[in-house]
Amino acid sequence: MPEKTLTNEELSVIFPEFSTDEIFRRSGVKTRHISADKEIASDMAVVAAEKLFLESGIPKTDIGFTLFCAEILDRTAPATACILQDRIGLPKNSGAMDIPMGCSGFMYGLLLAKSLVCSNAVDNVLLLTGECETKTIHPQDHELRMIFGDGMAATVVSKTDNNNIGDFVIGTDGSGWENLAVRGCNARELVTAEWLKENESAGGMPYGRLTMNGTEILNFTLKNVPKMVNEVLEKEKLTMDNINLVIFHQASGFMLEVLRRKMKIPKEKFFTNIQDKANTVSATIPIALRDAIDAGLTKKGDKVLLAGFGIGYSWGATIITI
Amino acid sequence: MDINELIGKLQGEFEDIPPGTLKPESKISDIEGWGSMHALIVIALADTDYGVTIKGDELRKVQSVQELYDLIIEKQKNPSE
Repeated sequence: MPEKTLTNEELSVIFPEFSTDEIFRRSGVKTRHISADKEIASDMAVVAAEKLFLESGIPKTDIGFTLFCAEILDRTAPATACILQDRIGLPKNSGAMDIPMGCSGFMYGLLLAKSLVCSNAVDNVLLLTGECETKTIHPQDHELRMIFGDGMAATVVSKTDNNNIGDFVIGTDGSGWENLAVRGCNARELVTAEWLKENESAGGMPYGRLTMNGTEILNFTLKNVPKMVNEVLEKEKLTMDNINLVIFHQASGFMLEVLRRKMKIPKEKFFTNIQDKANTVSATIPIALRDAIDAGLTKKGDKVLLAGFGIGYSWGATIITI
Repeated sequence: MDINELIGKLQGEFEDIPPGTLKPESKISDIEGWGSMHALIVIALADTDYGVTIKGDELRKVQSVQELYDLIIEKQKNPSE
């Protein structure tokens, strides 16, 4: 997580119409981490990867493939993952590829990493997932500033004798893309002098501007996430009773609570850390898993249901065994 | 369900709106502090408690609590709409 934070107290000064309690009630967030000026997703990925290698003791030479999942990439070409191979010092005889996905990105990355390992292509995949989403949020957009933060997670998926990552349920519905998108400054909507002028007070919004239709996103989520969760349970011939912990993409506090209530998931099984970490896009699930493990909420052999959903629309879920 | 049940549920969800404020004839736009968050709460409630999907533009056309109730009933009768 970047060092700089943005608290509800600070937001309440910027948006005096919202008290700190109201901000928390709307977002479920108390503190967000914010990337430094000019610090983008790949910079955070280098930090996250170095931390992983240091803490886990896994040698960099063991990595056979790197998947870098972010939507804000260094440049149109080459793939940021190639640049990361050099910056992190990963083997030259390893593969590297970008996955430009958002909220479902960790699930897609996990599926691809599992596929690479299970097909015997490689033994270890480094999966880097996260975003510097706050770069795309207009300073006056109180709704998005309350929910989103920046963060990056580094995960290694390794070959083992046990099948600890279960089957996946995935889905896509591109018809809803306009309801959650970064507009402007892309190949379809080229940056223009008008754009820069219109956004002058916001520094020109050179990374584009994230826009969200909250009601449509809520409807998409309520329609698709419970269905996906039921399907993944059926696929694994399990019921919610067999699941020790549920970790959803930390979309917003409100969304998570509505989903939990709709699916009747007991509170003690439903892990959230959005309060301190905010919505860090494709980093939320692995960071939440780490936090849950550190808090002693899972033990070896536990079944943990993971589900990501959002921008695209795109969604994916699986059940892992700790 | 009847409209009082809906009002009771809305009242329970809208922590910031004083009890007794909501009546069938209450104009939604006149509810003090009504905003985007309340729209999300109504949509979530319609889905989780009544099994119907209300789109954002449909909710924007709803003028009163009575009309919201009628919309939910209509959608329950015609799930495809």
